Amino acid sequence: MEDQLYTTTTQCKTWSFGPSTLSTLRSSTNAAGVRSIKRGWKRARLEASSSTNTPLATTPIPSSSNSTPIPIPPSDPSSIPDPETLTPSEELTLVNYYMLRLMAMSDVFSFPSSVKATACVFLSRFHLHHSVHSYHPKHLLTTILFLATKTENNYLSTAEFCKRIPKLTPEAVLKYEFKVAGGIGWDFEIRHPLRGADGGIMELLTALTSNNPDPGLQALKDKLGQTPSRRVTDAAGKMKAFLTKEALVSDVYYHYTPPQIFLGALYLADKELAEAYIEWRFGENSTMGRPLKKKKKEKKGKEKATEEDSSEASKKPPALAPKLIPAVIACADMMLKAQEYEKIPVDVLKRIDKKLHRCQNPQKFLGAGSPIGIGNEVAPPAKKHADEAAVSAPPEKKRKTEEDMFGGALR
Amino acid sequence: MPSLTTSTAAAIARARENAINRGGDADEICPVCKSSRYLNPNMRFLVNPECYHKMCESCVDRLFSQGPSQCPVVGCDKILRKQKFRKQTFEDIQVEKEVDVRKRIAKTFNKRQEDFPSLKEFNDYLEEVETVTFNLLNSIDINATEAKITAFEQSNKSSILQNAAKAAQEQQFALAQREFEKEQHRRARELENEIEAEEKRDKAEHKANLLKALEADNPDAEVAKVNKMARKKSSMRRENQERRARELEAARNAPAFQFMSNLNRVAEEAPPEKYDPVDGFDETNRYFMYRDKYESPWLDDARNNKSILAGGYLLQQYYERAIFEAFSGVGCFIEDPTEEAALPSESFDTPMIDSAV
Repeated sequence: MEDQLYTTTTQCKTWSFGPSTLSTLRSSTNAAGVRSIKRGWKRARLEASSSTNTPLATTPIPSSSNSTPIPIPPSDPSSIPDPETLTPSEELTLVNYYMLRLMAMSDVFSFPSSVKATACVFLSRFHLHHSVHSYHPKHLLTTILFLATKTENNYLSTAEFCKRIPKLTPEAVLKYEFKVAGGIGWDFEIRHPLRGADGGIMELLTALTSNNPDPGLQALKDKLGQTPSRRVTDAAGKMKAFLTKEALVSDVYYHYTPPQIFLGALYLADKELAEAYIEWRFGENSTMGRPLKKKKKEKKGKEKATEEDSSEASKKPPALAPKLIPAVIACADMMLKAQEYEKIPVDVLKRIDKKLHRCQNPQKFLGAGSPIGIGNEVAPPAKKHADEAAVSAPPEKKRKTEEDMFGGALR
Repeated sequence: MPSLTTSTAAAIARARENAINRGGDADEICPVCKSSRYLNPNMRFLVNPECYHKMCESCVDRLFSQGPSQCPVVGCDKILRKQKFRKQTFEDIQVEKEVDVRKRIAKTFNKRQEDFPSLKEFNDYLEEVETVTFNLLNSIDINATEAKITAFEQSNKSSILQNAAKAAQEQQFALAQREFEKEQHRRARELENEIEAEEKRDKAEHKANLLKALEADNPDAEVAKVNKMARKKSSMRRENQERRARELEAARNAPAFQFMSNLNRVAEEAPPEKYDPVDGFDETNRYFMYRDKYESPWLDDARNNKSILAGGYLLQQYYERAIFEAFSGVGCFIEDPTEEAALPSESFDTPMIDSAV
C-alpha cells in the first residue's frame, strides 16, 4: 500500500521526472524565457527607432547591486546587438544560488526545517516551468518563504514577517503570491524525506535495542560495532544536515522518492550503516520489520506452515535491495555533487546576473522600451505624484468626510 | 345507501341529457324548421360530423329519409346522409368536432415512442401530428393537410396496422387483467360468505348438540364431550379456511398474464460493476509493521510533557506517520517515460513582457 499511496501524490504524478525529461523541460523553459527576452528587445528597438530624437521617456531605474550602468547611446540602437541570454545550466546555477539565500533567510527566522525545505522545493519547482529571464528569483524569495510558512502550518502574519527583514513591505510579499502559487501548480504539499528519516531511524533504534532473533538484524548489529545505537544517532545527525541542504539544492526531489532520498542521505552519512540497513530491511530474507513468524507456524502445524509458506513465496515479490542500492547510491552521488553549488565563485554568479540584467533591461541600452520580467516594472512617476497629492492636499476635506456621520458626498 | 347513490347518479345523468337536448333553454328553436321546444317538448337535436350543423330529429327524418341530400343550412353545400346523424355528446359543438378529429387522427398517426430512435424525434413527430390536428380543426390548408394525411397513411400502412394490432392487444390484456381481478375479488367475497355461513351452522349444531346432551343420563360428561367435539371442529374449520385463503392469495399473485406485460419490455441492462470504495487499494503494509512504542530520544520530552499531551497530541500518530513516510514510495523508481508522448512538452512560461508593458 505504501508505494501505491505515494503514486497518488502530486509529487509523484506531476513533479517526478527522469533525468532526460527534466533536462528537456529545463531547456524548453529556457527557450521560452529567451523568446520573451527577444520579443522585448524587438519591441524596444522599434520604439527606439521611432523616437530616436525625442528625449528619453523612461528614467533609468537604479541598477541592481552587481551590475554597472552602461552609458546610454541613444544615437543608433540598431548597432547594439541582442543581449547574450542565459543557458539552462546558468539558470540552474542562479536558482540554486538563490536557494541558498532562501535557506539563509529561513534561518534568520529560525523556521523549522520543513518550512525551509518546502520553500526550497517551491523555488525549484517554480523555476522548472518559469525561466529566470521572466521571473528573477530575487523578487520571489520572500513570497516563497511566506507561502511555505503557511503551507507548513507555521503561519506568521505579514507584518510580523516583514519586521525581520529590512525594507520589506507586506505588499511586496503578497504581490507575487498568486503567481507563485499558480506557478507551482497549486501543489502545496511536498513529501519531504525528513519525517520519514525520523521514522526510519526510530525503527532502527528500536530494533537494535530489542532482542529480536532475526538473523538479518544480528548481521546488522555485528557490522555496527560496539555501540550500535550511538553510531546510528551520529549518522542520523549527519543525515539530517544532508537532507536540509544538499537534498534540496540538487535535483533528487525530482528523481527519487522520499525514502530513497533519506536512504541516500544516510548513505552519505554512514555508508556501511546504510548498506547494512538496506540489506536488513529490503534484502532477500527480510522480515520487513515484522517479528519472526515462521517458528510459530512450525509449532502450530507443519502442514499448515508449508502451505502458507508456499503461498507466501509465490506472492512475495523479489527483494528490493538489488534495485534499491544502486538508486540510493546514485541519489547520494547527486546530493554530493550539489555541494559544488556552494563553492561557485562569486564572480561567476556576478557575471550571470549581469547578463540577466542586460537581458531584462533593454531600455538602458537602447534608450527605449520597457523592462522585461516581473519585479523590474517601474512605477509610473506621474501616478505617484497624484497619490502624494491625494494624501497631502485635502486634509481638510478628508477630516470633514470622516467626521460626517453619513460619510462624504457621493462622487 | 347504494340505492340512494344510484338514484342520484341517474338523476344527474338525466338532467345532463336534458340540458344537452334542450341546450338548457326551454324555448330553443330548431334552426331549420323553426319549431320550438315549447311546442314539442320531446324534441331532440342531431348533428352530422360533416358540417356539425344542428337540426331537430324530425327535420332529419324529413330531409334525409329519401337518401343523401344537401345540408339545409344556408351557405352549407355539404351532402349529408341520415345514417351519419347522431346525438351530440358535448354541449360545445367545437369540442364535439375536436373529439371527432382527434379520434380520426389517432387512428392514422398511431406511432409509439419505441418506434423512434430518440425522444427528440418522437417529440417532433408529436408536434407534427398536433399541427395536422390544429389545421383540420381550424380549416387551415385543408387540402394540403388532407394530402399529408393520405401520404402518411400510404407510406406507413404496415406500421399503422401493426400498431393498431398492438394497441388492440394491449386493450385486450388490460380488459383481461381487470376481469381477472374482478374474479379474484368475487372469489374472496364468496369465501368470506361461506366461512360466515359455516360458522353459523356450526354454532347452531353445537347448540342443538348441547341441548341433546343435557337430556342424556349424565349431562356433565355428555356436555364435555360435545364441547370437545365442537372445539375440534372449529379448529379444523379454521385450518381449512386458512388453507383456502392461502390458495386464493397465491392465485392472485400468480403470473396469470405476466408474460403479456413483458411483451414490449426491453431487456434490462447488465448490472453495474461492483463499487470499490477504496479504488483498488489494500491496507496491508508491505514494508513494515507498526509497533506500540519506538526508541526516539528526540521525542522523550514530548512523551512526558503534559502541556503537549494535554492538547491531544498522540505520539502513536506521529509514529505511524513517520514510519509510513519512511517507506512510502521506497519501491517506486522514477524513470524517463518510454514514450515521448508522455512528456509535458509545453512549458507554461507566460511571457511577462506582454503584461509588463
